[in-house]
Amino acid sequence: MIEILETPPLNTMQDLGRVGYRCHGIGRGGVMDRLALAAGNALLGNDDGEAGLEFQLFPVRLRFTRETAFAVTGAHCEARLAGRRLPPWWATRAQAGDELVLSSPRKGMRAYLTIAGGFDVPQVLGSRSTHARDSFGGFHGRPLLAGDVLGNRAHAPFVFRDSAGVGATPAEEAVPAAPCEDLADGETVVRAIRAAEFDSFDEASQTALCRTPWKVTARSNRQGYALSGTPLRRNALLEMRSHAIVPGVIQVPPSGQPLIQLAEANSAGGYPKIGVVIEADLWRIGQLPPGATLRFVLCSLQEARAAEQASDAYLASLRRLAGYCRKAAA
Amino acid sequence: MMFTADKIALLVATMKRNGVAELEIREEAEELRLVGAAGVRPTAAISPRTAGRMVSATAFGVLHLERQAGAAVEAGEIVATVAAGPLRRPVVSPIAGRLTRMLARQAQRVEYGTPIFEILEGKERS
Repeated sequence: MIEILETPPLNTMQDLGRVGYRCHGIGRGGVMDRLALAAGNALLGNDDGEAGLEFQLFPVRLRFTRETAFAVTGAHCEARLAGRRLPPWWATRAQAGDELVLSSPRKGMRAYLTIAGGFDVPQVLGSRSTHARDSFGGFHGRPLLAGDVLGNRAHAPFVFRDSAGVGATPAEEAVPAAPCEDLADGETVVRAIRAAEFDSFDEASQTALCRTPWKVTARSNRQGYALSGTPLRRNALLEMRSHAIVPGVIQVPPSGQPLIQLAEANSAGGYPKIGVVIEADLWRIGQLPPGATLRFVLCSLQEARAAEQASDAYLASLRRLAGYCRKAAA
Repeated sequence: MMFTADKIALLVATMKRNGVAELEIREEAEELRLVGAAGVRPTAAISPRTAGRMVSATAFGVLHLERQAGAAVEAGEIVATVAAGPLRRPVVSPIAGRLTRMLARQAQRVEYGTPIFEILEGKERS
């Protein structure tokens, strides 16, 4: 069991999200970095989609009240267990009474804590994700607070073959981003496919989408990221009816400054869409703090599928190899 | 014959160098099983006579340093990791002390027993 000792607001329990309820106005939710959550689960032998704690504000302090195998993945936040620094993307065993401290990340934006067996909270509409706006799912439908005590579900006991534990090569190193010409230092590249209204943008804007940098503004959160850069203009201004949208959609409001809808995207929206960030690259956006610079490259559906296969291959290989590093305990 | 004497000798040498106790290979119709005799030990990298002891790699792969020379560490603390594919395994300090010298480079390919740090025993913490 885990007791939260200290946490800023807005840290929640999330899994891969709630699928199949968008028609009722309930968006997917779930983690902002699906690869980091799944990698933590793979290290522990959990299902990929087991819920974890998503930390986006720091510092976080918690105590294991019982011996527990856990993993910390995602943003590199100098996790310290009982005072000892853990490498990034690391799984190990905490002893009863050990404190885990996560500091502001040196790299990335969101860190994930997963535990062997997964968290012991009920599924709501098929998911353990916290739907904070409507107050359901996750841990009592709300962000974590100091004093919260979270249990894990029963699982087959195991030990790590190396008592110090085992880790994963962070996804940003193991799963390379798409190449992009004239990329500047520190810029993050994501692939996008053209969306329905792409052709209604003028040529300069179509070019600017991929040839100019986009700054992540402070108005960026789990619902979406607001970008600033060269304004994108359409040939003719047309009102649109609200229509269904999905995480990854790049909308362009009248200001010409794009918005990327993310995990807590509404189920419908009315702004024209210039593109959709492919699912396999959404986690890269989830790791960008405000002030970071983003670049888009357009890709085909085939390339999007290949990118997804590359992430799947990384996870499958990690899961298989990590299995050799654990053994059943008596 | 897939497994020539030369090939087997090479495999045995590689096993010894990397501290592998047992190896099983299947190639087409042939099967080969090599088991190290009891007492086959990887090359020892620790010399008790030198003032500083070594922290050495315990797996084959690409080195990622987690600590720098000068850092004070506790026994059992992770000072580096060794990556094989997407997996990283720990290299822990055998004793409490101060890492006095870096003996391997970041991203270097290491084997079982490759020295990574020299460590001077001592209780002080920085």
